[in-house]
Amino acid sequence: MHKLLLGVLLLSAMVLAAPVASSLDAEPASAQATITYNLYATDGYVKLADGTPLYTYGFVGGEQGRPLSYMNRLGAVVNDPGGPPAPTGGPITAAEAPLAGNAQLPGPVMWAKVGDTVTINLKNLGTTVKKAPNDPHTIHLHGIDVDAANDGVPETSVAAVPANAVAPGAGNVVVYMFTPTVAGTYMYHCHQEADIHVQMGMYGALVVYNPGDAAAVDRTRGPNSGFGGTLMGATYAKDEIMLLTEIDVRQHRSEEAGAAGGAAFNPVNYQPQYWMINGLSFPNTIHAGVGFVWADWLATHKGYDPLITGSVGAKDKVLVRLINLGFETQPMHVHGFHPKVLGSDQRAWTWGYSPTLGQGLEKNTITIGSGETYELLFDFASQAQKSTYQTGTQTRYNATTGLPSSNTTTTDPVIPDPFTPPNTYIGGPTVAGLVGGTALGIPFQTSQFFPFHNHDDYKATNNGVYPGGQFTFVVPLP
Amino acid sequence: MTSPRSRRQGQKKLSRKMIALGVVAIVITLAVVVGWRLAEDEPALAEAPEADAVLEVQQHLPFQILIPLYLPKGFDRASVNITVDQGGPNGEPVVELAYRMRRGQTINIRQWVPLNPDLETLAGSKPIETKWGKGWLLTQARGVIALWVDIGPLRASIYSHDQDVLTREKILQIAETMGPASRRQVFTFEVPKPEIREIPPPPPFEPEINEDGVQEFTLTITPGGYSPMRINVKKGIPVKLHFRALGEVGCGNTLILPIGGASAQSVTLESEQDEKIVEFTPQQAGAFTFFCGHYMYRGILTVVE
Repeated sequence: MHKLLLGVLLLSAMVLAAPVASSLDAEPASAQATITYNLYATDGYVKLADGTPLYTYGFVGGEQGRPLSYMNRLGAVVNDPGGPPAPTGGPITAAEAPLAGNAQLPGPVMWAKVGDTVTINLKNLGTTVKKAPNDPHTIHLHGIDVDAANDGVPETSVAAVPANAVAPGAGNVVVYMFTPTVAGTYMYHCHQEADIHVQMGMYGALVVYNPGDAAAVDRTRGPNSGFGGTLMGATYAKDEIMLLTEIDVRQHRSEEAGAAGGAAFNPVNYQPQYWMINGLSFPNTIHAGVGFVWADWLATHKGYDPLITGSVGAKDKVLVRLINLGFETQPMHVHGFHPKVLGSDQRAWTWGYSPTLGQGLEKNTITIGSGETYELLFDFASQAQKSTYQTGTQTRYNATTGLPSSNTTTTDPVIPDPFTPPNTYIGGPTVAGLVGGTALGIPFQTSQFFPFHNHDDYKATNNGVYPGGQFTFVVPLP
Repeated sequence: MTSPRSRRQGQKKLSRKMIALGVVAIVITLAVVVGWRLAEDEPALAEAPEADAVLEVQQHLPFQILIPLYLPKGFDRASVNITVDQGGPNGEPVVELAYRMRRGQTINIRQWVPLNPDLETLAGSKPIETKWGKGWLLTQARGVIALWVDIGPLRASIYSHDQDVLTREKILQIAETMGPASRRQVFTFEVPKPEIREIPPPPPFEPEINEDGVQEFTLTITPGGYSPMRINVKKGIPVKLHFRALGEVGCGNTLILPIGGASAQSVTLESEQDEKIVEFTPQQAGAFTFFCGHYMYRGILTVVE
């Protein structure tokens, strides 16, 4: 009798408890999300590092619902707090019209994490320059391995017909939906007449994070936001994108003038004059340059800062996502570091990063062909924050900037004797003062600027003017 | 010692008490049970758990948000996440419903009203027949499954990154059970397919021969035409035709019958209440058209052997 009663009580307790247990848990941090990008293909103008204006094709837009900031063809910043409009099939609407003619170079960074559903809405606003050919455009998701009809090759799938053209299907919106399954560095570009359109600027970076990564926690973060994660077995404190491209102005001028057939520039004669990292040539890559406002450029090209910094004290490991979207193979050389190559083309390299089996693959000059990506891990603990310089008349420094100067510049002061206060030194005299100043955005006292440049050194020029081109710095910070 | 009579009376009293107790117990039990049942009584038609949330969002939108009647097992309707993206001043507002399972799997339903539905295509999708018409299904080897379907002017995109949770059959079922969020609403998007069938015309009217040996019948003209429109009469037997009008027929008040001898017969009604009688005996077999004054209303009188 008692056992029966106990049994009944237990059963009723279980029955009552069951609804409580099945109530929905709080949303896990790694919940799958849906990310929508609204991109518009159009043309535009940019200014190269030496002030040359350049006609481009490209993409403009961004994530739906997030504030949009882009640089128009006159170099002014345009802010749209509501975000890019969702493309509407048909002629250009009033909401879309301001974007026409303001293609960005490079195209906006797109990013997601493994398991998210990514939707890209593409509409072609057409060219604004009358003579330029008004071509259809697509988005090819390089590395994502979707099926052919979704792949962005216009010959085997669908293209976006310019909305300002009189053609059947003009202004159509192509919606690409995919789920990334492998974390890594990808890229996207137009595949319509790829020999021309890619050179003209229709490209951008696409980054996929692992679900637990700090950089993917919410949509305000993402690449180059100061947050890290894990990739291919390595943990990094932050990541940077380095998207390598080149410019042959003859191709751009040929498209701008609408030359077709025999008069057009033949792509086989490709010989660039400008080389860029993330759309910038030195000195813009280190946030400097005449007539170049770094703050404006960074606000409109979020995620594309090519200056690599890391904290020595915090033993930062920085992931550099190297992408080549030009038409040349580039040997990229870094001074002062031997970054580990974690992987290439979104797949980990065996022995690439294996703390137990040794050093893995470490390269200080990495040759990257067009279409390749490399994941490079810089360990800032391997390099000091400060340099040491000789004392005496053989070493001088600029008292204003604190940077070392040539010992033939006899107007500059000599690096003083280490034993004379108030100089402090670590193993020798160090250059005092704010090196770099605030113009470069580096407020710390440091003396280490390591070039990370194209070792075909003529590509570190702006049309032959050295230094320029694919040249940036790696700066260890305290 | 109690007498048997008093004992019997006592027993009766006892049994009466017991009866009274029993009745009271039954009444109490009945009261408890009825009260319990009343308290637990749910309304006959239950609202969807997310109906109120959806209706609140919907009042700011220019279109009706639809929710699916069917969802795979394990999805909690009450915790649906509703987001609205304003595409832009001229763009389309898009509403997205995200139904979640406990472990984070999601089914998303995105709805919007495209201005040019033919110009917005889902790359890599293939057409599939649904209850609403042609839908577009996207399946990828590893990854997203999506179905675009147009329910009237509204386009719904049902998708999930998890193909185990959302199989092809389930996604079709979700699409085909989309409907208004609340029973307080009318479904504005249901467009039943019109059924077009060839209907054979009614057989010709054959008047009966009455006791006088006359084929007698009434021919009525209405704004829709003659009633009956086709008449079969037998040759050689007299015909008595009562001609009336019903409604405004204009020149239809005049009936012209080109049979009955050498010349055509013609009668005209003076008013709507008037009735005219036409008598003749058809001698010639064949089909004869009778008509109104302006040859607008027409009918066929067939004389058979």
